[in-house]
Amino acid sequence: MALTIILVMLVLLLLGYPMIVPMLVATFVGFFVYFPMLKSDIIVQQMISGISPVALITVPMFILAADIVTRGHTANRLLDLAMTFFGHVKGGLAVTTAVACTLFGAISGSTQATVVAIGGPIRPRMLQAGYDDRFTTALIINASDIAFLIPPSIGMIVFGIVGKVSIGELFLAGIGPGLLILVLFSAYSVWYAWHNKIPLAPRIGWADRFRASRKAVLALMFPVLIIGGLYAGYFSPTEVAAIAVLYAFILEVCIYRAVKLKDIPRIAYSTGLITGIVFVLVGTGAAFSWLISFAQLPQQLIAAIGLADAGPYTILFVISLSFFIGCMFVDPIVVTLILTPIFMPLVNAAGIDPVLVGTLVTLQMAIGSCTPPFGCDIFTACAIFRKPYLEVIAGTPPFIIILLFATLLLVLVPDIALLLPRLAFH
Amino acid sequence: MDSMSEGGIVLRGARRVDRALARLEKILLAGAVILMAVNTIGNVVVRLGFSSSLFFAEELNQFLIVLVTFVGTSAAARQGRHIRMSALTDMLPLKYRRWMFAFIQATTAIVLAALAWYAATYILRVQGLGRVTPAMQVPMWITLVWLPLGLGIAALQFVLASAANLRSKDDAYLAQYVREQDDVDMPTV
Amino acid sequence: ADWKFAVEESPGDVQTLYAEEFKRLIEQRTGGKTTVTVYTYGQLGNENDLTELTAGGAIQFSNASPGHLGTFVPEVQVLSLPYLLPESDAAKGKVLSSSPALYDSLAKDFASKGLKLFTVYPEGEMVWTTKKAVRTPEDLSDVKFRVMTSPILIEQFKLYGANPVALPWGEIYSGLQMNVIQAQVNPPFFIESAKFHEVTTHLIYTGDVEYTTTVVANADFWNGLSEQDKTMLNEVREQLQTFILAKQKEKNAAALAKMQKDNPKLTVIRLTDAEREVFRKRVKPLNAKLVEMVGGRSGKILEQLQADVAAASK
Ligand code: NA
Ligand code: NA
Repeated sequence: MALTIILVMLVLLLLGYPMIVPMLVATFVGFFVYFPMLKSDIIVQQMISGISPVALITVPMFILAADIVTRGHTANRLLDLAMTFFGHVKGGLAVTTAVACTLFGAISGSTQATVVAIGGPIRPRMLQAGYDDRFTTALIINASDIAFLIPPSIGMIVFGIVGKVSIGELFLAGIGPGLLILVLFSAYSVWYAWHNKIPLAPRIGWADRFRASRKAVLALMFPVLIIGGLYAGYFSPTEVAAIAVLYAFILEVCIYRAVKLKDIPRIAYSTGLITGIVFVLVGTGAAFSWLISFAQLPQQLIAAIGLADAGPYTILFVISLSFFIGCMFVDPIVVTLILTPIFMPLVNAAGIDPVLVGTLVTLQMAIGSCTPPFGCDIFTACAIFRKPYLEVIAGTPPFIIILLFATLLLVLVPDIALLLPRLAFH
Repeated sequence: MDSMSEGGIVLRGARRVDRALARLEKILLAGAVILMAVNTIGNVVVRLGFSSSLFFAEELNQFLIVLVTFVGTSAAARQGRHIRMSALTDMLPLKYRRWMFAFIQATTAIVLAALAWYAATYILRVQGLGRVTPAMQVPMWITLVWLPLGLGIAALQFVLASAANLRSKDDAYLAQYVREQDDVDMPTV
Repeated sequence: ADWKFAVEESPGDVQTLYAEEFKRLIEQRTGGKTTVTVYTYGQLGNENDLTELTAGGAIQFSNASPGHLGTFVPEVQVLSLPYLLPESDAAKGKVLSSSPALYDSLAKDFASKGLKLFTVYPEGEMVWTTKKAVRTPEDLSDVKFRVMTSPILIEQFKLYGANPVALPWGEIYSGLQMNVIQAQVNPPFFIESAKFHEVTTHLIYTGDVEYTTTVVANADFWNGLSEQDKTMLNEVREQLQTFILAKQKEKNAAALAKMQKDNPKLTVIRLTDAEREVFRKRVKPLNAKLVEMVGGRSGKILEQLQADVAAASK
């Protein structure tokens, strides 16, 4: 059954069907060929469940805020400012992109919103500066995925609850690997700029820097308000999304007057369309994962590999690989819900630190968001940059290799993750 | 618009209905997203200002997400913006690409129509069970009508796109009025 | 045959222990002719999905807790009324295992939705985790208290004098950490596994509500069983009731011990009888309110249940 379903999916995918079709048809095949007693109702029910998590509201909200901001002056003023400070460094704009994606991801916890909010405005700048489109897009979607590691992280909360691991420790453990990946991406960016002879921008004088800073001060309040509000405990992540929309509206419509009130319905329509494109896949993914879960395909797989008496490195390897492969095809949160309960007894029996497992798993979720065929960040990038699927993923291999390298480092030097929680809790 | 006057009476009728649906889609999508924002912001304001919360906020947002997802699905079909892997079809010569598009769009329409049908029967069963939402006590089936509607209209879009490809000689169509080389008439980020 | 049993909790939790013991007993008694597959939290969807899957016949058994089942069989919410069930374990067990109000009366409401009410069992006392000592309703006046999205629960905590906030499950931990909310309520083993004791300082045992769960079966499946199978299932049910009452007590005690070890600053407060009386008086109007909100046969079932409780407490 597993083989048939995967084949059906791959063939339809390659033929160029809209992504929803391969997943739906694979699900139909499972239901009507292998489990004819199941009602089609379940498919519909699971599609709805898939888009029910309340935290999903942050996605359209951050898209809306970003959409308003991008049509106005905020993003440009911020980027002008960044350019005056970093533009003249080798690979400076790419590094700025990575830092900005990480910061914004750390605020929002949504990788997709980060792709939209930072990637949207910064991409034209990078292209203009001479960076290759493939590199730029890949950098944006991969840097945005650091959001999964830096707190707050919905992925970590889900893992912590299902796997019974301290969420507080997980949060702290994510910071190290998140920053490690940021450094690795920045290093690659500098090398890339040097290797491809990206022209250096002229150094900007302090007078211009000051002028740019003054013009950007209100726009700069945006991240300050969001980060400040979140860390001081004023807002939950969902509320942060709402505040972002409100602030974007006040800034662009009322203060800068760059966006007119009558433009808002058009912007909202565009937000709704992008949300629909992404969420219908999330829903379909949920129906598909229900099927493989019902058929107990993951459990059969574990039994088939014979993992019962494996050593810690083997177990960590198999868990990382399973999550990596799972997240290739299905939504990371769903993969976590299904695989975590299967693996945790194994982890506990082998005496492996569950916080390390949680960090590794979260890293795989991050990688999975931009690995084909199913990657939310790929879909988001396709939708907002209006790029064909293959062009979006064309530049990702170096980044995925870097992320896998980070996985390896994390297994070999667990303290990258475990040092912070140990200092804090023990 | 030239293409509006082409085709037989059935196709022309379908296009007329479709134009009305397009307007409705725009209003629903924009309205739902704005309401979502107002609702979420309102909830923050109420919490900060009055240390309280709107008891319906979460549920209303879930309802709006379902609406946006499925109305957005049909709007995206209308704009030819559903995500697909075009690598192999891009290599075909135009003539075969048109045929391939027509075939893919026709079969996609069948799959979506089937899902719309399943969604409709599911909703009838939910209605029969008489379930209500926890906070607002609204019959649950009302929150779900967007599935068969959105998916059904999306299926219609793919049928019209398929027809456009079969009738055209010079261009391959991603959607009824969208050729593959067209810039989509829509603001993007 | 293969019976599919889906629970709302994760491996090692109370519901999963119940389902695994169910599996062991059934497979032992049938000599392996009937097998049971247990699905844990998230594998087949959320709590609402499980009930629908059971009603639709995709799975044969599932857990459904009153909080979630309320949208499906609204009358079941009477089980969550504060200070309703008897205080002694023996009497509580007796009511939940055999009360005619549940198994004759409430069962009819389940049957009308295609469900057979198989059993009701307790999972532990509802305990509040707070950021300060709470002994009186006045102590709650500045506390934003997280409850599940349910008008009745919101009303209950308003009556207690708190400021109830309906926050999704996934946002409780960060909400407590960020002080968006200052309290939440759950059974001890749940609090321990979700680590809420890391971000609060007090555990308040108020003795108001027992967290109960129901096990439901698909009605057509149940009616199609042979008399022999039904007898076997009823015997297994009796056996499991004793098993789970002991197991949940053990589990919650272990959870409390672990929480105190994890967070040595955690203060445990058990309200005295006099202190409970204050809350009990405050929340009295909730019974009438629930009957008014839920309607249907809830008033009748509540009356019957109160009579059963009185009989069992003697
Ligand atoms: Na984050
Ligand atoms: Na992926």
